[in-house]
Amino acid sequence: MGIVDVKNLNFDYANKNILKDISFDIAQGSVTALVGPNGAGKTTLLRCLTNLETPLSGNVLINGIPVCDRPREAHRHIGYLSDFFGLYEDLTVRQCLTYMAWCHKIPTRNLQEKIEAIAAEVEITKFLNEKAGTLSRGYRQRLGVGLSLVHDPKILLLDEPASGMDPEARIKLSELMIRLRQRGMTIIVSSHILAELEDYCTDMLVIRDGEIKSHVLLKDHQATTETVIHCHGNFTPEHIATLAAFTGLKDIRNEDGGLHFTLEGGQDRHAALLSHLVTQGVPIESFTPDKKTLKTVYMDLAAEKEDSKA
Amino acid sequence: MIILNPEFHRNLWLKFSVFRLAAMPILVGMVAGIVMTQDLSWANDIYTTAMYTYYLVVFLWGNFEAAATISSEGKNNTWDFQRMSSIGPWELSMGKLFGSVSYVWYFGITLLLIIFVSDVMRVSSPANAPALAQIAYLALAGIMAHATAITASIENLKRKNYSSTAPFLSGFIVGNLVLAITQKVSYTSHTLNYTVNWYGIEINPEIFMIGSLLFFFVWVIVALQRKMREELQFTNSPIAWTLFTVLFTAYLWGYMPANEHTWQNKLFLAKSLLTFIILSALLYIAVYGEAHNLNKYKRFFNFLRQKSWLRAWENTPMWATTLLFTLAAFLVTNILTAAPEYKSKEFLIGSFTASLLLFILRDGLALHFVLLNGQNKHKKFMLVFYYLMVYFLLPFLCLSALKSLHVGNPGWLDIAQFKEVKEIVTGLFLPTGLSSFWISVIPPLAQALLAGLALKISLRRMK
Repeated sequence: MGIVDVKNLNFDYANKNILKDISFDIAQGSVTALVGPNGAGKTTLLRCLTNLETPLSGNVLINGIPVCDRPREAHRHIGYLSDFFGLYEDLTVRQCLTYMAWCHKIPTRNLQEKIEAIAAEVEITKFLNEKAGTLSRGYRQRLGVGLSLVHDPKILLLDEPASGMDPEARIKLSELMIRLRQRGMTIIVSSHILAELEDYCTDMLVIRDGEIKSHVLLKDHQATTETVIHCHGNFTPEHIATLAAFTGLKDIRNEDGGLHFTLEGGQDRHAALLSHLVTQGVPIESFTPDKKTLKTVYMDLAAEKEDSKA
Repeated sequence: MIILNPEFHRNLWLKFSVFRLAAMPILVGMVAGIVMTQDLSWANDIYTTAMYTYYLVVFLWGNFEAAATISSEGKNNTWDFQRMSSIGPWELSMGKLFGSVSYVWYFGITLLLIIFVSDVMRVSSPANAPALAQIAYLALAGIMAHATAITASIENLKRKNYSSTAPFLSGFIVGNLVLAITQKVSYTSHTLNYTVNWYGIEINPEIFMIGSLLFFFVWVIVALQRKMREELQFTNSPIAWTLFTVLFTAYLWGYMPANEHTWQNKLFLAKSLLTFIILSALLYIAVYGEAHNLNKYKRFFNFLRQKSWLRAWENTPMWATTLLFTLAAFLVTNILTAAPEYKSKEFLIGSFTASLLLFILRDGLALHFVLLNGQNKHKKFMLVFYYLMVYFLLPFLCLSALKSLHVGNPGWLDIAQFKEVKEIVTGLFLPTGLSSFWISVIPPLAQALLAGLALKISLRRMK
């Protein structure tokens, strides 16, 4: 059982079945990209995980606590930032964080140190005494994340956290996510822009039309799927034959002054091929596997689904 | 301690500044100064001015602030942070109730002190309520008004309605109602010198009024806390509503005269009929409150199918328990009226109670037909249209057509026949105690069946 465990979750809105019998679990310490097209049910799923929307049926366990039965207890373990969150504009950043800490019943002893630590974590220390209403979009987002982190939750749920942010703010958000992942926090981030999630996600949960289409561990997926590799050098037909003899290698094309081919397997297989070529005296100047981006993984999964349908 | 309440504290940060702290005594002092320099009987004038100012501050400005406190959270998308925190429903309710109007009460409490002092010092008329009782009335009326406004705005928020107009009006109406009743009772109790007979006990009206006010005050606060519980994702069983139904009925029962020589054995019938009418009104309110929530019905039936009795009970619609009590009161009333001495040619209690229940059933089904369909964008308009048609336009049209037919053709109906037909036509639209049971019952029954059929078709279409 994962830290988030969802079983047969159904949710209706205006008599429309938005989430259809969804089941999955999320491992502790993972960062899961919740991806899918607009209107797929990402926001509703996140809101059902927090019980902000009451599911029609099914069970959601957060750190072993049934969120529908004991919502407030479960909330102690969850930090949630919705896509269109607001701030108390007339309070200072320090007041916003203090208020949220009080609401989470955090002991007042050393509270200010805690507030400053959170502010440092999300890099808004210099704005602590500024009013929240005066912050730029990127800093507002950071304060939002800070408010969700104030009670040290084990799980952080972020709904479209980078939407509308400039590139620099996105990079900062990525860095923050990496730091939180390193601290062992479990994170679920929804987005329909896959590039946003590239740097820090370990898992991908694909939702479409209210159904979970696939749930993959990215590392495993990359290890088991094919990669296109580009090699450059002064190759003879013998070299090409040596290359072609390597197991799991196919679709060799000799064009644009280089060899392009597909290799089954992950990074271990790439290393094995490179070592094999060097041992055989193949003069390689460059060896570039295509980076397996979330986008390509997503497309792979979509293609697999199409194949299985066919 | 309210000061430790996070929501109250947040409101203090927002609503108080050095300027605002200083502004209140300056304003109040200036107004008092103007009044005192105008007249020698300053205590009377101060009292009157303070009363009017209190009304403006607490009942207008205060209600506006209370109505906006939840709506603004919805509008500014800050509500999810509170809903995700560990703050409890009681704590948040009190934080909102006293925090949102903290500055208003900074004025209000000062004004209450002025009212109290000037009331003690002025040339008091015997018709005036004692100073302390007056203060209690004013304070409780203000808090009840604010609590009502906040409760109404939570209800609005559930429907994604962020307007604070209806919550403001709800609080304003409740506040004025309480104020009007307390002032009226206080005045009459001092001028007419009477006592209230409640369950046969003679009670001073002033004391009874404070007791009654406290009873309703407690329930207004309970309602706020229960609504807040729902918002904070707790499940509310219908237990509080059921308890309110029972206690409210018991409270009103106390007013029935206990003198057996006057009422003889009709007393129990009268109590039973009164109970039935009160429960019917509460049933109507409960049906209206629940008719929006299709998912709650679905969850209720899911839990029943799963034999999760406790969860099913937690999701039981409020109207269901009220209906049980109403049916019990209906049965008791009708068993009592079966005795020959209660038979009346003009008014049959059996016909009246049955038709009233059927009209509630009809309206309940119609409300569900309109409100359960989440994709219906014109719900409010449809409701207004429905009520206008069934309670105003159609009856008015039929009765005026009948009247013009009668006037235009003098030979068509004699006076007695006209009265009879008029009664029958009225029975098509309103609960009546007609001499014929079936003439009273068949029209609302047919209408209820029609509404039920419409609801069934609408639910089937939604699947």
